[in-house]
Amino acid sequence: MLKAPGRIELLMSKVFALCDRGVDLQDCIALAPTALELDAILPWLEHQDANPEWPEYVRGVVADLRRRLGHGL
Amino acid sequence: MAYKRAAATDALPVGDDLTRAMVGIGMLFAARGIREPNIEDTLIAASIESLVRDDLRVLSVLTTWVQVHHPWINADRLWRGIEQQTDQRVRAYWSAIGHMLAKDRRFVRLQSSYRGPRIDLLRVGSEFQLKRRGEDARFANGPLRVPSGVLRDRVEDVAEPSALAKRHRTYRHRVLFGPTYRADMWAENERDPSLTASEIARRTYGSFATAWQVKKDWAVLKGT
Repeated sequence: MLKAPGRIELLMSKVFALCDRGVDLQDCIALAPTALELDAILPWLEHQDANPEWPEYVRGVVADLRRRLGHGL
Repeated sequence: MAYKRAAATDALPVGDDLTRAMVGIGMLFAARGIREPNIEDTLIAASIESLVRDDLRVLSVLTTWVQVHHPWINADRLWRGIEQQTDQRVRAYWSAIGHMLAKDRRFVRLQSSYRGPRIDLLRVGSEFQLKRRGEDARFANGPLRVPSGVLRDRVEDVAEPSALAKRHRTYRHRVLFGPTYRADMWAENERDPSLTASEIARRTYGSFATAWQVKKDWAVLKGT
């Protein structure tokens, strides 16, 4: 069966790419995830790399994304 | 009123205009390019988009473009344009380019456009990425710290010099005569021979004297 990613899967892949490669910021901003959507994908993102510093790094990248999106301002 | 040589444009392209200008100088984004945009204005505008608005895809292609096409950049015009910029990240990038292209002595002057401490390209997580991947060797000697792999370096992302020379008159004249104001003025005059010397000088950011000489030389050749 052919399946297509939904919005949350697309967000996961884009924010992961932002964390991994650092170059997908404009796409992440264009997708305009809500604070709740970022809360939902953060635990998954934190487990995508075995580096012990990865989770803290991911939280920093997502916090920066939240700031740029105006969440919590 | 006396002619005053222009150093920078009143308005560098932004947004979709910038995308079309970048395509117009051979950066292969998925858009329709404008015909023969000003080369150095486009490079400076692309660096502002990249460093101020953090569009690192643009920075990847810009850096590759500079590496491929630097023999035909008017280094003096680029330097004068960068001197007008106040953003320290933009200045640090062009200083880094000055270090990267140090073998081409025309670009050494760019190194002086930034003199502060090293700046991280990534606003967050730079230490993590540098530990994980090391530093991009192209920037290792300059003031910008760039983790390896963040800026993609694919020569396929930019047009080859021969392809750009076919469709960009000023670039073609720079290949013929060298990347000088005179080459740009000759191209501008060829595009529209009715332009006055002062208008040619204004459009190319050059001196009135050089533009005047181009008009005189053009008149000599016109009858041959």
